[in-house]
This record gives sequence, C-alpha cells and structure tokens, in this order.
Amino acid sequence: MASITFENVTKRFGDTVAVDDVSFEIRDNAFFCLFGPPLSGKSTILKLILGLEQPDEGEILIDGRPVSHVNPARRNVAMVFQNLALFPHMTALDNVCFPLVERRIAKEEIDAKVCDVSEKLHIGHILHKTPAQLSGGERQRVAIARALVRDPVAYLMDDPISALDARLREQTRVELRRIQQELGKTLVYVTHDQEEAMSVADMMAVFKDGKICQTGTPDTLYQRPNSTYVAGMLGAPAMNVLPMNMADMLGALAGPNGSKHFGVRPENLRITKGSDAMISEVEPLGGSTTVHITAGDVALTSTMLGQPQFEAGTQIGLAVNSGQTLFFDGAGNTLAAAQ
Amino acid sequence: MTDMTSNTPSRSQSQSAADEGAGREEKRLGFALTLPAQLLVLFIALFPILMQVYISLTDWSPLDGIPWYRAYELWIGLTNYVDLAGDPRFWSAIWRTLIVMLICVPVQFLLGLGLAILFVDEFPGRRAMYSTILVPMMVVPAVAGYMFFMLFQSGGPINGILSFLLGSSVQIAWLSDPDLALLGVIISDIWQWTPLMFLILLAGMLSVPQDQQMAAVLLGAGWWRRFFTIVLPRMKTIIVIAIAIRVIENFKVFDNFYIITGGGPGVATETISIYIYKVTQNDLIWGYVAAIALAILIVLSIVSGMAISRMRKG
Ligand SMILES: Nc1ncnc2c1ncn2[C@@H]1O[C@H](COP(=O)(O)OP(=O)(O)OP(=O)(O)O)[C@@H](O)[C@H]1O
Ligand SMILES: [Mg+2]
Repeated sequence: MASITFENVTKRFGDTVAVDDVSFEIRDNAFFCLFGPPLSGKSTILKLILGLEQPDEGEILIDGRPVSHVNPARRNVAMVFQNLALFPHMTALDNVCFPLVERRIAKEEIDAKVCDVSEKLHIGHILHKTPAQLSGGERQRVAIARALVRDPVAYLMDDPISALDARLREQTRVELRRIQQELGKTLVYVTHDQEEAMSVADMMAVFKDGKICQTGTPDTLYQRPNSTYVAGMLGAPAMNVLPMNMADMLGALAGPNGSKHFGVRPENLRITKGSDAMISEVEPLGGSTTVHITAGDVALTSTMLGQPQFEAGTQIGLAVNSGQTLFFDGAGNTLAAAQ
Repeated sequence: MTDMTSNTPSRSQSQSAADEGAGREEKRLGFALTLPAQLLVLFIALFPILMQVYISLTDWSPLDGIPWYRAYELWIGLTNYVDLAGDPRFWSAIWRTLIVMLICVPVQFLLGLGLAILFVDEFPGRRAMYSTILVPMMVVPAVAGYMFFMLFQSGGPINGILSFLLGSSVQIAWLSDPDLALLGVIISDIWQWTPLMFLILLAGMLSVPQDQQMAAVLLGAGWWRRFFTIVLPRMKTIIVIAIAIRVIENFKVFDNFYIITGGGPGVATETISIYIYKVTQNDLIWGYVAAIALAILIVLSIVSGMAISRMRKG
C-alpha cells in the first residue's frame, strides 16, 4: 500500500521532453488513470515510477520516501506490460511463480500464494497451459496474477487491455475495478480510451505533450474541465465548442468578461422548433441517438435517449439546458464553471 | 475449389463437384508440366551421390583407362567398405577430426556466447568493435592458413612474444611437434570461426523481446536467472543451428589445415578431409575415396537430421 508523489519531475530523451515539470500525488489505494493521446508521456511516467528511467529533474516519492536511489527490483512496484510480456516457454503456473522462486520462499508458502491469487483471478483451471494456449482475457489475468503474487505496494498497468476486443475490454475493466477494490492497493493505469478512464478511475490525470492539464475525479473533469483540451478529450461525441456570437441563438447566458467560446455537451443541446439550424445526419445507436447539425458553417452534435424521429434536412431550432454551459477565453482556458 | 485464374469449361457450370474434378485434373496437368524440371533438379541433386555410390562399389581409378561408366567391369562389391572399416588411418583421421571438433565447437560457442553477452547492450565504440570482431570470418581460409603458418614458425611472432613475456628465448617447434601441431590448427580454426558463432548468437540474443527481460527484472530476477530462464531457453533453436553449422563445417575443414601443416608432421594433423585429399591425389584409388566420402555424408546427414528434428520440437 503506497502513495506515489511526483515533485516537478522532468524527463528528457535527447531533444524530446517526454515529461515536463510534472507534479501530482496518487493517494494510497487509488485507482489512478493516466489519460492522454499517444506520445504524451504516459508510459514514461510509469517507467519513472518503476525506476527503469531516472528523472532529469525533480523527485519521485513512494510512501513519502524519495526513490531515486532505490533500484527497480527493490521498489516492489509491479508492472503489467501492454503486451503482457508473459514468458511463452513457461506454463501459466511457472509464469505466476516466477517472482516467488527468486526469493527462495518455502514451497508450501508459494503454493498458498499461488492458490490465493488464482482464486482471486479465476485462473486455477488454466495454470497448466502455456500462454499460447490461452485466450486474450485469460492471458491478461495470468499477467496480473504474476504481478500480484509478489504482494507489491502498488501496481502499474500500461494500456493492458487495448489489445482485447470491445466486449472483452468492457468485461475486463469491470473485473479490474473489482480486483483493485478487493486487493485495496494503489493501481496506476494508463489508457488512451476516455470511456475506459472514466469508468474505472477514482482519480485521473489528463496529459498533453508531457504535461498534466488537469487532475481530478472523472466526474470533476467531465463537469468542470479547465480547458477546451480537457473538455474535448472526455465525452463522446465531443463537447460542442462554439463562438460566443452563437450564444444568443441557443439562449445561453452571456459569459464572463473575456469569453471567446462557450461549450455545451451534446446531451445538453436540445432540438426545438425553429429554423436557425438544419439536421445533417441522424445516427441511431439503439439506446440513444446522435444528431449531427449544421448552423451556418458550424457543425454541432446533440445526443438524446431513445430513437426520436428526425430526418436529415429538417430545419430546427436549438436550445441549451440552463446551467450546463462552460466559457473559455481566447487561449482555451475555462473562465467560469457551469452557471 | 479451383484457383481464380483457371479457365476450364467446367467452371461455367458452377457445380462444386465439377469444379473439384477440374481442380484435380489441373493439378495433374500442372504436375505433368513441371515433371521434366523436377526430374532435372532431382537428377542434379542426386547424380553425384548416385555416381559415388556406384564408384564406391568398384575398384575404379582414372588411370585404368576405362571410362567411369564402365567401372562395373571392376566391380568389387562392398570390399571398399570392408577395407574402410579396417583402415587404421581412416579411423585415426576420424578420431582427429572429432577431437578438433570437440575442442573447436565448444570453445567457439562459449567465446561467441560471451562476446554476444558483452555486445547485447549499447556501449561507446560498440559498432567499431563489432566490425573488428567479424574480420577473421571474412579472411579467405587459405590466407588465414598462411597467416598462422607464419605466426607459428619457430622464429615467428608467437615464439617472439612468448620470449618477451618470459624473458628468455623460447623456441617451440609448434608445427613440427606432433603433439603441438594439432593445437596450432585448432587455434586457427577458433580464431577464424568464433566470429560466426558470435554473429549468430548475438542475433538470437537480440531477438529475445526486451519487455520480457524487463518484466523479469521487475519481478526480481537477477542477471543469471534472467539469462538462464528467459534468454537461453528462447535461444535454443538458434544455438542448435549455430552448433550444427560448426560441427558440419569442422568435418569438412580443409584449406587452412592443409596450408598450416599439410596434415603433418606425419599424420599428426590429418583430418578426414585431408586424408581424402591425399588418397585422391596420391593414391588415385577413387573407388575407395567414394566410399570414405559416402561414409562421411551419412554421418553428417545424421547430425543435421538430429539438429533439424530438435528445431522442429523447439
Ligand atoms: N527510450 C526513449 N528514447 C527516446 N525517446 C523516447 C523514449 N521513450 C519515450 N520517448 C519519447 O518520449 C515521448 C513520450 O513517450 P511515451 O512512450 O511516454 O508516450 P505515451 O504517452 O506512452 O504514448 P503511447 O500512448 O503511444 O504509448 C515521445 O515523444 C517518445 O518519442
Ligand atoms: Mg505508452
């Protein structure tokens, strides 16, 4: 059980600044998501925590203790790699035992630990197989089991389920959430899938070019993003970011001084009678419907539950749910929270 | 189903049975069309071997004045093989070849493996040193032979260096002492072919996925454990290949041995290929030579067969 703290950490690779003066704290037992587009430095953060890379500046603390001089194996932080890095020439059992054999633990104790872990992850019946004989989800669980038997203080996962298909991914992330809660350990989780991040994380940090844009609970980041960037990264379809001159048309309140844009989530944009805009496309998704709208040369999206009968080409009016608007300045920073 | 380019009438009937029939027909036609070429290839591959089998059953020599295809006039059955089995010089040549192989291959393997381990990780000057290490392999074996011939002369550089190190004049007759001559040729073989071993093993080592090794580090495995449980098992196939190549090559080694010692002094460094050469050139009993060559071919086939089946398993 451990908290992990970054204090003004910078990591460069030649001219690339992979992690740029980053500070944040991961509380004990948190399910913490690092979320950002490719090459934003997420994996580098994990390598820094593991000790596979050393920071050029700043300090990393695990449980309040600086770890710059602690070697990777001693940090007792477990890692599940993106491609899992199971050892293909060993059975699942040998894979899971691998970290135990090293420490010359008594046979009975190894058996007990393996039993315990395989029960938690439901892999008891596949331990005799080799990785090649396992399904994607099973391999996943074996890799997690191997990370867990050592009883690490925290575990890190680098986009561990991106290789799975959509349905299995949904199942696995629920599973991961359950496992994390059962074990009660800090989990640092990298993903580039916003839905995954929002669904599993207690806390998340949004990355861009090696910097953290915002840290907070998924709900906070969704409701009160501090910039158009964070607003755009979370939620699908993305938030409508519109020029202020459209505020009147949508019946939104005037923003604070300096507002250049305002943002409305698709679910807060309602379709009314009128002729300000036109439906360009209707996308029925079963439980909900996404309507693509054009107003002048601005494209907007609106989502609603059910399958309302709209037709492309229909003239419509637009309105926003009151109190659900964000205002941004010229640089894209949020000026005031929803009003 | 027939393949898309086929244009036989039955295709238009779009009946799968007919299609399949056409497929079989086409296969037969294809086979018939390629048959001459296949026979030619087979002939080229097998002819020398069959000819050898044939000659080895006769007492034919080019000096007999009859063409080889009439060698049956000198038919002696298995006599050559019987002679071979009781030929002490053949057995001692085989024995010597085995000794060379049993010393050279493990030494080359261990040196190559050691070098490969040193070269897996980046270090300053790695590229330059890498190229330097590969140089011996590029040297023409005959040239390497002359090089070692000079090095091992009793007034040559090796004795010179030893004299300098020991502070007194060393006059070891490396190549004319029957006990030391074999050492000379063994050293030249190791010098020349360790780089190949190194090259193959390094390639194998670099192909072991980095993240598996990293995972092992993070799971607490030290260097030795990582090497023996992750790296070596994944290199099995390539190790078998590397060793098989050297075993086979060592059986055939000739040029530098012939130049350094000519098989001498006496027969002290006479390996199997030098023995064959001498029998061919000096004694001209080709039937016997063919028998030796076939015997060796069989041995090598068994060796490579074992290597291949090992690879299939691994
Ligand atoms: N070992 C390295 N050598 C040089 N540059 C590196 C190295 N590792 C990372 N980088 C660079 O650092 C930056 C951040 O990389 P990082 O792998 O942390 O991104 P990421 O957010 O994990 O991306 P992805 O989502 O694609 O995995 C990139 O510009 C990358 O090219
Ligand atoms: Mg990454």
